[in-house]
Amino acid sequence: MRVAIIGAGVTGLSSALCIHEQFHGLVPSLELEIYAERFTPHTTSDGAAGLWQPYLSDRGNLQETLWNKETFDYLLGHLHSPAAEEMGLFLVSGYNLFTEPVPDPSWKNIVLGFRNLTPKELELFPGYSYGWFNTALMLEGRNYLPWLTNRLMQRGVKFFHKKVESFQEVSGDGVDVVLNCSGMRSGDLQPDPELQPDRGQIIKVLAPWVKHFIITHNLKSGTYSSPYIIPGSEFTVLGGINQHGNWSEENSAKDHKSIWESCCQLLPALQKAKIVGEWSGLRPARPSVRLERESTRLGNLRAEVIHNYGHGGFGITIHWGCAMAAARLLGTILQEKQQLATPPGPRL
Amino acid sequence: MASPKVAVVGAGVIGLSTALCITETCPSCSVTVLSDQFSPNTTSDVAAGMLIPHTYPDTPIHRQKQWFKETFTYLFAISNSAEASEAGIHLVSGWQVFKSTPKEQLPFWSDIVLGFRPMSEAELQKFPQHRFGQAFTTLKCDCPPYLLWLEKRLKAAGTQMYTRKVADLWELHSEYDIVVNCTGMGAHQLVGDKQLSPIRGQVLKVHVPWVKHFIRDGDGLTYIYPGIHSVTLGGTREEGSWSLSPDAGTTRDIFDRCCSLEPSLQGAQDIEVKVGLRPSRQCVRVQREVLSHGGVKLPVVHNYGHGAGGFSVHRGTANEAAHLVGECISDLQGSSSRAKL
Repeated sequence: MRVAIIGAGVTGLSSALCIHEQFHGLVPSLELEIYAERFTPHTTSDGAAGLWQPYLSDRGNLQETLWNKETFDYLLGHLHSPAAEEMGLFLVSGYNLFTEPVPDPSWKNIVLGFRNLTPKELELFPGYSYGWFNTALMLEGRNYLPWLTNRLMQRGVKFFHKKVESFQEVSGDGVDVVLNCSGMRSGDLQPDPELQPDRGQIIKVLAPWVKHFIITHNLKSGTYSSPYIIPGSEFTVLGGINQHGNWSEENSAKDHKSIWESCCQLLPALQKAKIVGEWSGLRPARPSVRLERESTRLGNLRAEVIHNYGHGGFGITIHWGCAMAAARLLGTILQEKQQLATPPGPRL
Repeated sequence: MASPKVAVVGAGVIGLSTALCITETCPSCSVTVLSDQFSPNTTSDVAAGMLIPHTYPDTPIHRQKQWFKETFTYLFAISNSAEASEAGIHLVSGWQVFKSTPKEQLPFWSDIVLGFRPMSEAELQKFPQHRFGQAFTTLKCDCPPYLLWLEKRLKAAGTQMYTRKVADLWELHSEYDIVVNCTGMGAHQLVGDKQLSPIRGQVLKVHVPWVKHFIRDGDGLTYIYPGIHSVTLGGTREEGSWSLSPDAGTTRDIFDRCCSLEPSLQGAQDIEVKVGLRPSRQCVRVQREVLSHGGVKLPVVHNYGHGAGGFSVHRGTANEAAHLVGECISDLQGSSSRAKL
């Protein structure tokens, strides 16, 4: 029973780990293979700051809110484990800022200590009149992806550095199930007009005195289009760019200026921070995450594909819930192929 | 008196901030800082510099609250400016946790720090041995940066600073018009204050950059305070101990206690051990005195005995001491004009 995962970002690697954890004992013939054009530290997940925080609006996708919660709870459970440091997992608190009152988000009871900002706290942020304070988690891709990779390699999962051009290329080779975790490049495997890039650019600085995340919101221009500051374990990420439909992965001087000036205005002390890097990436945006099974026919062959892509700017936030959902879909397929009596794990 | 000559003895956070307040309230004064130690070798350099007040048994609470409020307001403005990183001032959020619910759930300073509230059940799950907690955001003064920043401000204001061991305040009477005594633990010897005694504190400074919150046990003995480049782990409160040598058994004990509050500390790198003697007193001595020998008088303003709460009230007591210096100057000017009659 060969399962191929296309994509080695947070979605591909965590789906692979979740599947292996759940099924390797039950399906002795299970073999997992990961195919990707890019591996850590060159994936989209590596460039993300790693803050667990969903978008303000769930866009009507309640399933996504549940997956976000499952991810948060899963990570919180690992916070005190010896692996936490290696995973790049730690608690972080901070501020979400608005220029007008807004309804509480779907995730207010998922994070810890959610509350409104006091007038004195708002004095720190001239121009913003309303906001939230809460404690959330950081999961840094540049640590989490290598950790996932190590766990997978220990389990005998094989890695192939290869750009897969089509599902047939893999399924025609004797692979029974393909997991499509190819993020922004999913359109190359199967056209999806709903999948569009939301281009982001970030500046990495050394500002170890910053202990809180600060995320501003411009309700008109949308998520991540307004300055944000996120403190990591080695450097602080400055951002605030979200360009729908822009495919460029090149750093733009204009965006650099916009990020730098708006973040320094937000936190004047940043003017003294040393810039240590810059990066652009494409958030694989979609009106909703595509997490579903697709059976296609190739001549006499039935090809099973499980799609798990389109996580926009909340891939890290939602990854484990989606990995578990993908594993459930695989369980159903394994059951049909009579590899399993009943799928393991709780039903949701 | 055209340009009163003021000597400030002591260059820890109290000495430097008091000197700075004097330059601000009395621009015509000539201020000199004299100390046998400067940063990074002062008691202040060992302290984490967290703005969480210590309660002095014999100082009225309203006065302590006023000192804390002035200090917090002053540092809040710096933390929000472009100078924050140079001054070593930054906001930090976290939790104070208690194994049993304290009698006083709202300390006097709860409305001065930011966002003070009881911890939720979900938050307390992170601390299985503790049953009650408070979450808030406060400020931290990292040393040496803060002391070096104060020294820079003083130099810009024309203040001279000299390394000098003052054995007796009287020795300054011919060179200075007013002496300000900010000698901390040194006052025990210097002015023979037997009410002042050391409370020894040992701390570890470790490199754990993923720790972004402070955690403090309400008993005041175990704490984790994240600074700019290192996290301070503490601590001890050994009354009457004068030893400045680190103790290996204590290091192990502090590390274990902190790891039980924050398991990820197990991965800590580069552990540095430091010891400081908190200059402890039942009340902070902010007070005027006149030393007199053979008809010659020397006005003295004392500002010492801040114990565990130096950083929390430093600016407030510095303001008060500077005010007392102003009174001394008025008295001197009054008596010199009387002398002319």
